[in-house]
Amino acid sequence: MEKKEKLKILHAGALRKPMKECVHLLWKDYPDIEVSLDYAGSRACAHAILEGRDVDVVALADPHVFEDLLVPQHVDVFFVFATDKMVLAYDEFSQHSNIIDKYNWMEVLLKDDVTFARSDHNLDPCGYRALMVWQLAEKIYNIPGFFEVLNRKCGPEYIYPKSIDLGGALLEGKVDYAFEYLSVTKQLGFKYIDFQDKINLSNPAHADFYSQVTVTVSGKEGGISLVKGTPIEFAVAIPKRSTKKDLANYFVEKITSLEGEKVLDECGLISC
Amino acid sequence: MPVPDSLIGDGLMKDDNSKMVCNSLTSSMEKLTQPAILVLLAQDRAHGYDLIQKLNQLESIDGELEAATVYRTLRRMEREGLISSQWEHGEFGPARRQYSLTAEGYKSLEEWVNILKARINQIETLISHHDKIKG
Repeated sequence: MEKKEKLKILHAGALRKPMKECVHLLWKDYPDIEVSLDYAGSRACAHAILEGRDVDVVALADPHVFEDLLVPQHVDVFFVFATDKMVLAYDEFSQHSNIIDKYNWMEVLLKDDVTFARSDHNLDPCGYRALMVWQLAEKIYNIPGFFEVLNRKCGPEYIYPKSIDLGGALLEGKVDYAFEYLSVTKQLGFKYIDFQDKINLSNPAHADFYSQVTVTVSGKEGGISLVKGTPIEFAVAIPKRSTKKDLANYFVEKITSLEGEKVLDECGLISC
Repeated sequence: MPVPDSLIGDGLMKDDNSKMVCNSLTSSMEKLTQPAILVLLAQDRAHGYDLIQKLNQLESIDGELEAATVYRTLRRMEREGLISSQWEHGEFGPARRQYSLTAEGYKSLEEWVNILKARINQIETLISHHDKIKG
């Protein structure tokens, strides 16, 4: 039996739906290609490559992860292809969902009967971005101690490996609210609170303001990195070790093509 | 050539039949996003990220331009042939789309400027008429 050509894609959890749809675009032109599509938090994806995992395409939720962990040993160039923003996701069964709005969300989250979740900042950019939103909110609304209160309240039982896990937690009613990407929130049909641009990490016009906050993240071998607040960007690259460079290149060009942009748009991402 | 700050937020829009459509004074500055982008790219090529920063520095009234609006406008303008993009990167590091004006884009910019100048004349005439009535 003829062996099918196989393309191995590793991507951030938040990109699950768009990556699947882009593979469908690939299959239109190459229906016989076998695709292995795996995902994890972006930092976890990068660590997998550092530990020897061979992939042909890697798509992550933060260009900084490429810079911090993969360039130049494993990746030369990575292409910034989409942006997003942080929101507070919830549904109609969340506590106080009937009263929460963009003015009182801080007050609601601090209520004793309210639980909220984030992803793990050591594994996933959505996690450190949630921590940054809290820090920025403390600054912009001038609420000293707000970050510490939220950080204490969001215990280990409310911290998930990757952003897409937060959707499951909300669906199952394990938490009332989650600090999530708008794209994932919309894909899963949740309601959300839209934060102002100065704290939602969406706008390059506020890059200087975002850069005032930092989060320390730890790696698997005990290394630590200081991540500074920056506007959210997603990036894709072809690792140097890929043995399917032509096919990988074709897939990356698909993501950044007009067809790919349509897919990203339908998944709630902004092509850039 | 800087975009006159007084025009940002005036909500002038050109519809498909090339007629002038006047919005209210409280309408969003998004209506002038396209000519502002054309002007900035006429000065120099730029990434979307840089354009967003420069556009928000041009704004002289309350409110700000959402990044999503600018990125979507850029993608639409490229589809319409007014601007073109290519991936730009160093030896290592992030590659981003860098935009530049096409010949069609330059033409469109000139059309916008002519329309806006005509509008300024109309507005000044109206104000002058009002001032005369007020005595």
